[in-house]
Amino acid sequence: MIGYGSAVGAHPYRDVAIAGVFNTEQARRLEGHDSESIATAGALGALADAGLEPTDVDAVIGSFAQELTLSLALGPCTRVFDPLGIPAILHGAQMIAAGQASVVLLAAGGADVYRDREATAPWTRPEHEFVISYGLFTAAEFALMARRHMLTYGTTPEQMATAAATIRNYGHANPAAVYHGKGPFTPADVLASRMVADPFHLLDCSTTSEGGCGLVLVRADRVSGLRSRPVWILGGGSDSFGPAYQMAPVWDMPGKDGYVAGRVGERAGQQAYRTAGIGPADVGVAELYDPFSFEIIRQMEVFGFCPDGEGGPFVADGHTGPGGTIPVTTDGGTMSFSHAGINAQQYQRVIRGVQQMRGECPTGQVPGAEVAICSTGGSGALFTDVLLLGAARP
Amino acid sequence: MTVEPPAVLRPQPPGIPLPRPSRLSQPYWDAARAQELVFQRCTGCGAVPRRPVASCSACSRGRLVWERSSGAGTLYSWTVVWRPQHPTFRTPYAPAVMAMEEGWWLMTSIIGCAPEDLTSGLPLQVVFHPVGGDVWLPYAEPAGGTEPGSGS
Repeated sequence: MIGYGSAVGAHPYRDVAIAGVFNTEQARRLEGHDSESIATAGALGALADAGLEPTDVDAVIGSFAQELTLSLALGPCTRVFDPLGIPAILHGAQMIAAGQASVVLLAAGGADVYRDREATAPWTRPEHEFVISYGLFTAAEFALMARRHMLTYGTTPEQMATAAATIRNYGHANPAAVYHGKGPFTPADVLASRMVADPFHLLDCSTTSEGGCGLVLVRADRVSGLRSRPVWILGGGSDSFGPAYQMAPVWDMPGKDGYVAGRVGERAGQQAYRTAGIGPADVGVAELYDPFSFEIIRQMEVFGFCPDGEGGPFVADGHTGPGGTIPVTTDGGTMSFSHAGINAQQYQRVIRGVQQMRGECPTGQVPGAEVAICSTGGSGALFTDVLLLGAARP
Repeated sequence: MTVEPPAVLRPQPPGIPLPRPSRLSQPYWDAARAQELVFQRCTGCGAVPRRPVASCSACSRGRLVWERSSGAGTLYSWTVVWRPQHPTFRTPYAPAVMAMEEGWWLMTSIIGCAPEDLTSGLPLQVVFHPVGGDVWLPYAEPAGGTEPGSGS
């Protein structure tokens, strides 16, 4: 039994439950949809999963908050334009905890955005004056961080390839994944794929796809009679070192209190564990953001699953795979399940965490897991957000 | 099977996306056009901001002045890109972070050597190349000059 504690009396999210989650179909291309329409489908699916109607919603959060307010006839309704992932979910939880809402709807989607396939996806190409002419894009930015870890700790391409192959094999097994059935993959397969931005091969990188999703948060007194088993927020945090993709990503860029940019998310993780009154050993499954293989190695260290610098060997030893001590990103993540851009793929880490806590994953279910850690962001983007979910109310 | 010539890192030809300076950064790009590398430093505390700013975030007292950099430093981190972010970029290219001897980090791209020659701490020197639109971009090459036949 896990004990929950907090430094300031009652747990801040004790009265907040995640009551509905939903993923639309995810595909390389979803004909007949744009981002708003697929986000709307995600919203309606999440409400149906909870057993709620649009008229029950009193706050909506996301890039399409205003559009959903109109199209689902939510008004009068509080709308929060927030393009982020976990921070938006925490915002919704705080609205409920503060008595400002009893049912909060979050939805996101991406479709018909990535058209010019000669270039990398538009959301990966930074336009800031100090990076634009150097041909940077997300893979290169993250590679500049991974390189420092390789130089400092001896982390190898083979270890990174193991992280990627492990997640891709979860996606291979997942019928809902865009790349279902495309494997299985070995680390050697990853290393044999063409180089994109050294040390990242094609299969070290996330994919691009289209899809939508939604979540519904409710006040705890509303959960009885709802359709799905509630899942609980045990803690969360959000760390940034500045705007993503506007300057050189420097691992050793110092922050306050001894934190460095390369370990972004460390403080957020510590905050989340503290609120939950638990530690890494209590976590049964990790639904971590996987933009690039190295980020799994990094997060193993930053979130305390292994000592600093030992993330590479830790992943290579199989800890993150099926039956491992801390299975990671069990639906296939952005490498295989889906990566629709905007913030759908960020919500999807939490959606998978909820499904794990319910025990309803058709593939990749971690038996007996009572706590999930979910994350979004990454070192190359200078931000990492963390959410701890529990099967039991804190 | 034909043998590929060894890849040598070179400046990009004109046609790549160009920076749009802001009021704060205009002196940086003006200096670059004159093939000078400049950076801001606070007269109060000596801090070098991560990018051009109007006031010092470290001490909030000092005045910010533009200083001329020696252009000398070492290779801090790098990648070699084989899939360009946009077709206007010629591969391979090597975005890099350079640790400047004045104690700041420069985002740049390495030229004048092969990708295999890149190692941590490699001494580098900033050199400027025109990339179109009257923009001169700071690149970095191994200190001591480019290798023969590099084409740069």
